[in-house]
Amino acid sequence: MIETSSGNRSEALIALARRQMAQGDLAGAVGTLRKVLSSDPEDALAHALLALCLLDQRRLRAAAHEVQLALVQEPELPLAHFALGMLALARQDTRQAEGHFRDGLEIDPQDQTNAWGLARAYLLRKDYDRALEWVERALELDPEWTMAMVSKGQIHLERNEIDQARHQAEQALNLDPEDAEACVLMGNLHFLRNDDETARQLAAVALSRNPQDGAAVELIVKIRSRRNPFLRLWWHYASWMQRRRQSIQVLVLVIAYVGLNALMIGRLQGHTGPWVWWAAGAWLLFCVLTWAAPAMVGRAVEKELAASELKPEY
Amino acid sequence: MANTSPEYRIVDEPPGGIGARGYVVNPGWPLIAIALSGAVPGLLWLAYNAYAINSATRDREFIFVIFGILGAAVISGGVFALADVIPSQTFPYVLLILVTWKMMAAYFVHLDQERSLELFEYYGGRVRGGFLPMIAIDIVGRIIGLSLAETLPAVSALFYDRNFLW
Repeated sequence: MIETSSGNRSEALIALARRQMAQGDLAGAVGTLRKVLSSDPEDALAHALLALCLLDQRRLRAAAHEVQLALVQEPELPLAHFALGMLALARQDTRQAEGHFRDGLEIDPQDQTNAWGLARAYLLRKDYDRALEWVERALELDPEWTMAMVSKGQIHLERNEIDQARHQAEQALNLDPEDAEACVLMGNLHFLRNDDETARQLAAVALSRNPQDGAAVELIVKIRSRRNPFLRLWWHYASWMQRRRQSIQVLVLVIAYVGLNALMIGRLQGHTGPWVWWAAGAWLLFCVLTWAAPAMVGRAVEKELAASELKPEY
Repeated sequence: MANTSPEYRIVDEPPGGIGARGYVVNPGWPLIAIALSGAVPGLLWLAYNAYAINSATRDREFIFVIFGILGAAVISGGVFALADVIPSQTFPYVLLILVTWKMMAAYFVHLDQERSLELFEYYGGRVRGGFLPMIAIDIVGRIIGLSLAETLPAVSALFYDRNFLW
């Protein structure tokens, strides 16, 4: 009796966590899954879902740990393979991601999440034909899955097929007018048409659902970058660094810093020209930029959320 | 009946829970202090900050700090022991080994601590201003460094290496 009621409770909590994830309430979903795992630390599905939440929060180390726990408990759980694939994608390793998604599909060929994952991997690899093939497969399995529709739209956008991309975004927004991914896709389409105001509104809708939505923040930065090239520069730098391993990040920064020190010593000893002061100034600017830019982006996001008077249809 | 099971802990969360245990600053401030003065004051500040944030990776950060300071001491000792045989113009370049070492240790700790700080802030932790502590630590580093420059240059460089670079 007790086991049945605790099992029912877990199922209800997992359903709640799924809803919270779909609504972009990651903190809520993490809290709910924490409750499930507190009473049953061997619940593989809860571990896999928690891994996906942590991935969205960019807590990659914790996500990797959770997905391993899920696989130890249930090696044949397709969602765990999906989470493993998404983790590889977050590390920009599309080959490894492809392997994990295919493993998931071998276990359950009807699993739309792994089919969609494969599409994401091919999209990142710029293999648009195969990406389209797999996203269509995901839509065959679940024709009303807005996330797959948005991915299809993104593939069309990458191929510069704007009308088809718009069609996908509209379809997704018809099903869920507040779907964050669809809003961002539509926002990007408006951004391409130089309609920054609507793009901003759409990004704000996505952010109101999940203030940590990376794609929505990126859209805000893109809009702001039109007027602020320094912000654009920092965004490129930060995105590049984020994709590198920690040791590479350290190496790049140390080489730059020590190299500058060597140049300064050379300048003071008369071996190098006065251009060294320009290099020193550039370094100082870089330091100020890397220091100030995250706060600028944070403020921009807050401002958008506070100032955006959302249109009634949103 | 109330659920008495302990709360599930995610691996990147510290065992004692997320919350400040001291004066938490953005790890960028200690990093600047290290760049401005020397290895010892800034690295010790980073170690304190790891404790204050209750960083989940604080053991790793402490190890980096210990290795950073010990390594810097060995390098500084070695470079100053060879000071007589190194041409004076080359000496600042050789001392850059010390700078490289301290900055590597500092960046490794900084990158780890940045992630812990994100989590700390995500759960509502308050980050305090770091500018004044940085100035204070820089001044202390300089005073110790400059006062030891003549008598114990190898120790002095651990507190204020710029004195020997430029």
